Amino acid sequence: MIPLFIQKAAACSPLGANLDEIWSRILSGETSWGTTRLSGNRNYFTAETIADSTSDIRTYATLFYDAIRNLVTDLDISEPVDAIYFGTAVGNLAYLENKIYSGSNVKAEEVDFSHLREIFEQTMAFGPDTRFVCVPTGCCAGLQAIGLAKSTMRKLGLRTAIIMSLDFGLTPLALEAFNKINATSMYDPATNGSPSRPFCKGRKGFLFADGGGAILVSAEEPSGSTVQVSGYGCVSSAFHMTDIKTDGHSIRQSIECALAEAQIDGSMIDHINLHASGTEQNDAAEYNALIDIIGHDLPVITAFKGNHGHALGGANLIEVALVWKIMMERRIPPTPHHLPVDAFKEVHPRSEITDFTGRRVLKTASGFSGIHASVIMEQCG
Amino acid sequence: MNTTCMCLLTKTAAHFREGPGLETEELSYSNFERLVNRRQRAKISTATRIAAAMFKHFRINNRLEKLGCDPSNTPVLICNRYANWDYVADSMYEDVALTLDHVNNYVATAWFPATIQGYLTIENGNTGEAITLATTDTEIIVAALQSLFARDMANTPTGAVIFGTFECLPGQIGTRRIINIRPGAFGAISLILANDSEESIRAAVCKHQELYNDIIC
Repeated sequence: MIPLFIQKAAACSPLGANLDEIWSRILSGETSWGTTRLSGNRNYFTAETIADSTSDIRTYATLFYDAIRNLVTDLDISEPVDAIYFGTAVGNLAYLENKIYSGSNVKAEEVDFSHLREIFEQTMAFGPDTRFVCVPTGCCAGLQAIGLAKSTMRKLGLRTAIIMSLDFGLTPLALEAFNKINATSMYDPATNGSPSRPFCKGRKGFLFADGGGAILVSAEEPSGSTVQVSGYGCVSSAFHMTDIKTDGHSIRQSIECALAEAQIDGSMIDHINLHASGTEQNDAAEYNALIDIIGHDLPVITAFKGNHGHALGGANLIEVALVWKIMMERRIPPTPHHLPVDAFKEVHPRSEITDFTGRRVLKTASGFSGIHASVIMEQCG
Repeated sequence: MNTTCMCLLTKTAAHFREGPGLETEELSYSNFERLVNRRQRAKISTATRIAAAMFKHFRINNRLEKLGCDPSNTPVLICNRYANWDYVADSMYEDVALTLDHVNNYVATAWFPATIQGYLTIENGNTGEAITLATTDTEIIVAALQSLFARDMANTPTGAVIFGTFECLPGQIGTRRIINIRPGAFGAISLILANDSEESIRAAVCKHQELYNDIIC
């Protein structure tokens, strides 16, 4: 398996319209959350990239398309790439729901995930030979898109690619569907502080958010210091569509696959960025997987959903872009302010920015359908 | 050499077929449904039910074992471009509040494309890597299939990959029509073997892709 070299990164999230803005607010320990108010007095905790956009589906409908174009623009590319690997959970669901609620017919191509290629065709990234594939596997879609790029680029003779994952899924259907299975929370004015509390004793499910990120990657090592994706692993839990076994067995397997591909062992991991959705099951499973692989002396852990919620598949590339920032700037942000991070004694809150002195980072993700994926990112050059 | 099994679902029957020139076997809709885990039927979309029924009807796990593969650890690649709109088609209304009243506990998992790989891996106890792709690019699918094989000590591909394509396109969502399409439901499964030639893998992918010709106007 060839490594992928990250040349540039971009992101948008409830903490900012671009990666630098998000990074700056993450370094300050800031958090973002709000409320989406829908018909029938249904009010949900959410975190919105565009303020006050989700309570009216007409406003929200096209933000997904705008975000794709903006992320490509932020990558500041000068020529078309050879391929686009695009991960998402719900794709253009907001656009489609708006059509249905407004009484319009839907075109077949609008319900076709492969047709999202058309949005990229409107950007600098797309040339006559650019390939496009969508990986619609939910909350692991971004890492799976990275894994797919890593395993297919050389075979297909591709030099450069954009790997993006993005979701603007704060739609009526999605909000109510997640609420029905108690994955998210209805708005509660009595809640004190952000409802997104990964690795905190008081966690009650994830804070549904929107946003996404993108990386420009090369199959050829560039000159100068950069970050490479050196390992990837993915397994199925074969356990449950939504539940995760808290023993962390499947997450551990995905990490072991990624370590093996990167040809390193757990003791060589210098930093970990977790999926950390904020559900008790997820946190326990990730914790147990880490203890099994690394032991009780864990390296510093970051978990950005505590800052700006969970943007489904979009979260993967937001987090990869932020890990790239950690590695390029050699700084690890503090944990979000006001979060006690007290669920496990080995995982501590941090109030200050600390130096990143290592070389290798483990990044994990888990998703519905029992998918668990991990990547190893490594400093090189 | 891989073979491809297919299923075409009509309103009254399921038509199963394997390989070129072979006769189609027809199952009544009720017999088709019996091939799907009874406790799961109401929780999954039509495309997922097709996948479940095909696995049983064509005894996919038995075939894997006969090929010397482990059904509990075999990679899976699913193609699905149109998600699973049929699962919510009858519960969508122009009135948002009415739509929300009809959202059931399984929409969050049944609607999205990866529900099919999730169902198949859970139902068959398969912990292998699984991925779902939505693309018209045959070469990316071929390359993805080749990348999923397990490797032996000499880094030689071994075993098989379960390759499936499953779609169900309803004619309308709520009261709104889906235009430029012929409603339909189909599935295809191929067991791609590590010693299959690239041409043979490409041929299987093309067979799967051709199924879309029946629904796209």
